Amino acid sequence: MNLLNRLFDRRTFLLLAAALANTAYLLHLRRPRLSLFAGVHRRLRGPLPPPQRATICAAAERLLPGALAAGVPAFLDHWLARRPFHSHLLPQLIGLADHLQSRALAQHLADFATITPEQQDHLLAQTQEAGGAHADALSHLLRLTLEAFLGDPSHGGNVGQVGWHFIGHRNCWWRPPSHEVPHG
Amino acid sequence: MADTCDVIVIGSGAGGAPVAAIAARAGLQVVVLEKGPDYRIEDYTHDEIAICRRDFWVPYPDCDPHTLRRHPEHRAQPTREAWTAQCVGGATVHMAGFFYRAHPIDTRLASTLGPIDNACPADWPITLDELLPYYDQMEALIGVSGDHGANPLEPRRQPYPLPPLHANPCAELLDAACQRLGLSAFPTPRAVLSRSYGQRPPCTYCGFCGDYGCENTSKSSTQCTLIPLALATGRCRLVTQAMATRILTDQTGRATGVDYLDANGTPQRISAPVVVVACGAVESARLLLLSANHHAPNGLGNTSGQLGHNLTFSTFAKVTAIFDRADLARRLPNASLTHPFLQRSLQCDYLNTASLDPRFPKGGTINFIMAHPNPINAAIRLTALQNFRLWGAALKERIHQYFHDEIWLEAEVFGDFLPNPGCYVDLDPQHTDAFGLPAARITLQHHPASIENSRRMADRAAQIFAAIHPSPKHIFTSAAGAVTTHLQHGTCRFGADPATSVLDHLCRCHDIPNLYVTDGAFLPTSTGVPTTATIIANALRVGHHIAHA
Repeated sequence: MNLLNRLFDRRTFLLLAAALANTAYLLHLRRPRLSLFAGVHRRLRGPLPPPQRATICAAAERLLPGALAAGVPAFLDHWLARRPFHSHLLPQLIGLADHLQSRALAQHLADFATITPEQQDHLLAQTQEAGGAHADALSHLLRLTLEAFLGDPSHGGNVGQVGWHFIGHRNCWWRPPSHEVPHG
Repeated sequence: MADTCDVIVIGSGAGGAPVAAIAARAGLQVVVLEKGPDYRIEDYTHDEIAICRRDFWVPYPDCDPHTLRRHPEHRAQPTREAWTAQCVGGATVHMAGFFYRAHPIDTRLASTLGPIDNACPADWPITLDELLPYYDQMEALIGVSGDHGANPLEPRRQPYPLPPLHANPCAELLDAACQRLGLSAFPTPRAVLSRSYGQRPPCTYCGFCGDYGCENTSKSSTQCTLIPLALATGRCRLVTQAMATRILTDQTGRATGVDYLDANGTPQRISAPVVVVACGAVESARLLLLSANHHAPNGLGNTSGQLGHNLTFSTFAKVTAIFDRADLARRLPNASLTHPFLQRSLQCDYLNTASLDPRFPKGGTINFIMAHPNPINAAIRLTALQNFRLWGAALKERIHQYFHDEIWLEAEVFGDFLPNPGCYVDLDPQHTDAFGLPAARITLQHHPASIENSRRMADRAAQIFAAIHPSPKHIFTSAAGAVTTHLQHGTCRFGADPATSVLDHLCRCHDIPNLYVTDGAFLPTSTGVPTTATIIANALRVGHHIAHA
C-alpha cells in the first residue's frame, strides 16, 4: 500500500490520467464514433471536424435546450463554412471543443458529448468562470445558437419555426384601423 | 469618348440624393456614383440574420474596414464602427426615421456658451432661419409625419405634411408620468408615412423600421423618394457599385471629375464642372485625403488643416423599463400592447443651465420607443446583461418570459457630442480596403462634459419611467455616455473663415470653388438630435445653389 501510495501520489495520478485522456482523445479521432450524435456527423460533413462537431453540438444543446431539434448543427455548418466565420470563429470553436473534450476525458474518462447533462453543465460553467479565449468562444457559440433558434429558417436553423412558435413571433406586430389601409 | 455631365454626386443618401434631385429637376445632367447596390423591394425582408447581423448594409472589417483607436498613441484596430450603409439611399434606407429639426442654439453654440476647455465648437455661418424653408421642402418632398405645435421648442412655420403615426397606448401612461414631473412629451416626428403620400402607401406598423429596409416604401428613404425624383427627370444617371477613388483637379486647382472603379473593378473616369461629395462624414474626409496631389499634398480643400478634424458623433444612452404585461393590460384594457411605436420624445434638456454639466449645459433629445421586435437581438441581450452567464433552461425560460409576460419601454438618449482635438479621422498607414486604398482611421475621444450630459439625460429618462403607473418591475441603463457612430459630422466643417474651416456657407470648399461636401461633414456641432433631417434640408439648400449658380 505504501509502495502504491508512493507510485500513485495525487500528482502522479493526475499526470497519468491526463496522459491517458490525451491518448484516448487522439485515438477517438481515428475510430468510429458511438456517441449520441454520431449519425448526424456521418450524414452532414460541415467545416467542423466530426469529433469537435459532436462536442460543439452537445454544448449548444446545454446552452439552449432544444437547440439540436431546432437545427443548430445545420446552421453551424452553413455559417462556419463562410467568411468571415470560417477564418475567425471556426478556429475558436475548435479550440473550445478540444478544451471541453479534454476536460471531459480528464474528469470523467468519457467524451463531452456522452457525459451526463449535469457534468456537461459543470464543465461549461467552469470554462466560463475561467475566462479567456474559451469563455469568449462559448459566448460566440451561445450567440450562434440563439441565431439558429430564433432566426429565419432559410439559414438552416429554427426548423419548423420552432423558435418563433416558442416566442409567439409575428412578422408584423400591429395593424392600423381598417379605414387607413389602402384597398386593393 | 469621355464620360461627362454637369454635376457628379458621390453618394446617394441624405447628403447626395437631394442635390441630385434638385439639380436634375433644374435641367442639369447629373451622374450619381453609389458604392453599393440598388436593392429591390424584395430584398427588404425581416430576416434578422441576413439584414441585421451580417454584411447586408456594411462590409465585414476584413474586406473593407474602418479602423478605430481611443488614443493617438494606440494602434487602430479594424472595426465596423462609423459605417452606415453601402447601397442606394445610404443610411436613410435602414434608419428608424426620427426626423427632428435642429434648434437655433445649435447654430450659435460657441458664442452662446463661450470657451470650453479642450473643446472646439464653432458657430455655423448660417442661421437656422435660413434652413427653415428647406426643412419644409424636405418634409414635403419625402413625406414626414408629426404634430405641429406639440413641441413648443421646435423651429417650424407650417404643419407637417402628414399627421403623427399611431402610438402604443403606453404613450398615455408616459404622457401622464411626464405631466406629474412638470414635463411635456410630444409625438416623435417620423420620416414614415401615416397616410398614403403620392404613390406610396401608409405604414403597416410591422415594427421593423430601424436596421431594416421598408418593403412597403412607407419609410421615406432617399431610395424611394429623392432618387426616383431625380431619375424621373431623365437627366440623372445612377451608377451603382461605383467606388470613387479620387477627385481630379486641374492646374488652376478646380475639380474636373472623379476616378472610380466600376462593378467589375475596372477604372473609370467621369468629368464635370461640379463635383459633390456625400459619402458620409468619415468617408468623405477619406476621399478628400486620398485625392491629395502636388497642389494639395495634405488632401483636397485642406489649406486650413481642418480636413478630418472636428469629427463628432452623437452621444447615446439607453434606458430600459420592464413592465409586467398583465399590469399594463389591467391598466389599459382592450388596448393593443403589441403596437410597435411608442412615439414620444422630450427635449426638456436641450439647453439646461440648471441641471446639465455647467461646463457645457447642452443636452439633447430623449426618444421613447418600444423595444425593437428583433428576437435574436432581444435574446442575446437577455444573456449579455448577465455577462452571458444566463444559459440553459434558465435562459430559455427568460426568453419566454420576455416575449409573453413583459413589455419593455426604452429611451434612446441623443446628446450633443462636443468636438474636441482628440476626435478626428485620417488615413490608416497600416490597413487598406479591398481596393488597396488606405482605410479611414478614426481616433475617438469623448469630451467629459458630453459624457456627463448623456448620463444626466439618462437619469432623467429613468426618473420618467419610475413615475409611470403601474410601476415598472425594473429600470436599468445599459449605455450612458456612449456614442452612436451612425450619426457623424464635422470632418469638413463649414465656416466663414478659410483659416478655420474647410467649407464656406454654401458647403463649397474654400480652396476649390466647384467642389461641394453635403453630407453631415459640414456640421460644426452635432446638435442635440439625430441629424438626418438637417442633412437633407441643407443638401436641398446647396442643391438649389448649384442648380441656379
